[in-house]
Amino acid sequence: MTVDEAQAVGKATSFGDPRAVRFREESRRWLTDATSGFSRADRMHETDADILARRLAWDRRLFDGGYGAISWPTEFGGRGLGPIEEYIFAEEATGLGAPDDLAGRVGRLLVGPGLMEFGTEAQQARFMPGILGVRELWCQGFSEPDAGSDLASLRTAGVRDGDTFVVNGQKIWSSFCGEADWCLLLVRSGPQENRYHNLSMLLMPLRQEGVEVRRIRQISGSSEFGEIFFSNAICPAEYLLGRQDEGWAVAMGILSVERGAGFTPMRLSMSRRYLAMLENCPDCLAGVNRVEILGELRARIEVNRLQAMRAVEAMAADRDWVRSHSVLKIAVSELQQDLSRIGLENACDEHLPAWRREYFSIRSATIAGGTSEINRNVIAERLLGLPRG
Amino acid sequence: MCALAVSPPADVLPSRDAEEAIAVLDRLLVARAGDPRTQMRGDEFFSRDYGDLWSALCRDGWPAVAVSALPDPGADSGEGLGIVDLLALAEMWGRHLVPLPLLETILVRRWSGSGPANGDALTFAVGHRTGPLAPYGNRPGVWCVDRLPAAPGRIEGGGWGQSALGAPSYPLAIAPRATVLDCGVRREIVALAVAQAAGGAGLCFERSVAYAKTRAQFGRLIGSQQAIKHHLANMHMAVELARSSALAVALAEEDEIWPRAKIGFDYCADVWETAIQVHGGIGFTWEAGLHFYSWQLQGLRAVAQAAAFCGEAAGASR
Repeated sequence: MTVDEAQAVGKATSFGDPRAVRFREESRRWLTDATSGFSRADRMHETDADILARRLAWDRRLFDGGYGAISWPTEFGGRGLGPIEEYIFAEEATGLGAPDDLAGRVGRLLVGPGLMEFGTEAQQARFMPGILGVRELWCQGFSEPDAGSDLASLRTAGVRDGDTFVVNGQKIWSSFCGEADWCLLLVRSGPQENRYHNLSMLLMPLRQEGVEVRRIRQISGSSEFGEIFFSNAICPAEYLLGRQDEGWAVAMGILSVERGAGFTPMRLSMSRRYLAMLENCPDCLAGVNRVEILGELRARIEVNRLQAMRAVEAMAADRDWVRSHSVLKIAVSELQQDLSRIGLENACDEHLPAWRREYFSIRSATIAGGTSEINRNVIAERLLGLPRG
Repeated sequence: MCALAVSPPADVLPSRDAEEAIAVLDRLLVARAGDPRTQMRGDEFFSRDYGDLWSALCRDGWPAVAVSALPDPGADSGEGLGIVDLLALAEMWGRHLVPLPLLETILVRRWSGSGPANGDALTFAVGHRTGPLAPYGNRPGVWCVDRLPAAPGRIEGGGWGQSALGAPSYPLAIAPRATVLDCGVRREIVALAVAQAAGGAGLCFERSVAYAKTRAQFGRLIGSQQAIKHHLANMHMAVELARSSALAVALAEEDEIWPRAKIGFDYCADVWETAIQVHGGIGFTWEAGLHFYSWQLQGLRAVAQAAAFCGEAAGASR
């Protein structure tokens, strides 16, 4: 979208744009009420079930308030606004104590945009309302035990049999798979040798015989991720997303959305939460140069925030956005990890268990959603044009 | 007391008009001084006479490009370039290593309105532990102002000694006293210094990428080795974050100026050190000229650190 087109439909094209300033004021007013009851103070000892319940309650409050899908087009029930407004809302919301993440994240950030780009009208009519209203939860079925960073080598089979696909195989690292009703599932539908033209994307029902979900206990003690086993599970062919055997293109299209600005405000918000944990406890960071350490962390967070804002503004003004995602992903996830280590190494007795949990938990930041190594390869090969090794 | 820092919401990218104007200046510098991507800077480069180039810059109105209506010059009244535009200008300028006080002159004009005449080369002095540092302050025809913001007088005298902290592209004189600077001016001095350093780092980075695409070892380009790729990816990130650091300084409260600037300079130093590593033995030679960028970075860092901490009182007393 060009700047002129964005302006014509009322989207802000920069953070100083009066539309952006008004939107920030409007959302702050709504959020001040909406976030009451979502205090951060009691999050130190939450169970997985507590976390999910809190996120679900927040998702539904967003939907009721009309903030569920700020940048979705209005014909799909969104507000028809842009990345600037999306970023502003996330920043304001998490600043006021809203959860860092959404229970409906996979639906909101992956499936919905995927349906808009690749879905049939019937698929959109069937699935979009449930995603928007968070009545149906989604998980993502891409990675496999032998197909992590090398996603295209996945082996879970989806064999077309008349009006259905018959699915056999195993997926892993699926967030929310324990609660999800549906899975955005990438399967092998064609011969092995047709790399990049032998995969299909399915909108796969999980509530059926032939699907078994096992939770994975992580080093943090939580079980956000799980494995999904398919044995002769059935997906109606009408739930094929995009063209058969062209699922790689669908996956890349969807991941480019995931790799948009979506997660960065959440990650920055987590960083600010870490900082607040240190600032608010006089016994953490004792016996070290507290003022200097906190000052440096504040500065690092602000630099990363401005990096994100420059990227979002570039995206909104149709400038050079594509350069930004990998940089943000690496920089902010490494910032989170550094913060968690400072917390762990300087925690008071009371907060040590919480910091240990955060320290373990945040190891995933440089692995999930594209490892830092893959992202460095992306920068080197796609941005800098270095030859493939 | 410090003028209230500008906090977002404000635009974080330069305007398209500013970008175009900066591109025009970039082309002028390439035409007059050579393209820094392909032409190494050497001793001869720094001893040239740049009088004609300065005249051309003045003729094109660059010294007054960010003048805005007093009494609130930092507020970017809409005339001329705003601070975000100036950061982009400083980045571009930092790539060229041209030893002229253009950014200093622009800053002084920005904070002193119509006082100095067009054509004057202007600078300021910041109180440093080794003595007040005045960029280009020992150059003939450059006058060092005594206070900002205000219609300034000048710090008189000549024959100032050179500070060892200076660089061939960025000489630093030791002035008899420091310019009295309010916080808003000091914040912009620091922000532009970080941006200028980020520009220099960006140039070192681009040269490293180009080198990795042409230098072969073991029968293949070194840029195809993942170890080198990751060095270059880290450099790209560091350059981007250094640019954001400059912006963060421009939006900082007084006590946040130096912590944010330090991050930016640290990123630039990382980039420069990795540039030497990627270039291997070639990078270690005087002829390659990469060291001039570190030299400039060291000078900018010294001036920025001094500016971040020299309050009005300190400036007056030194």
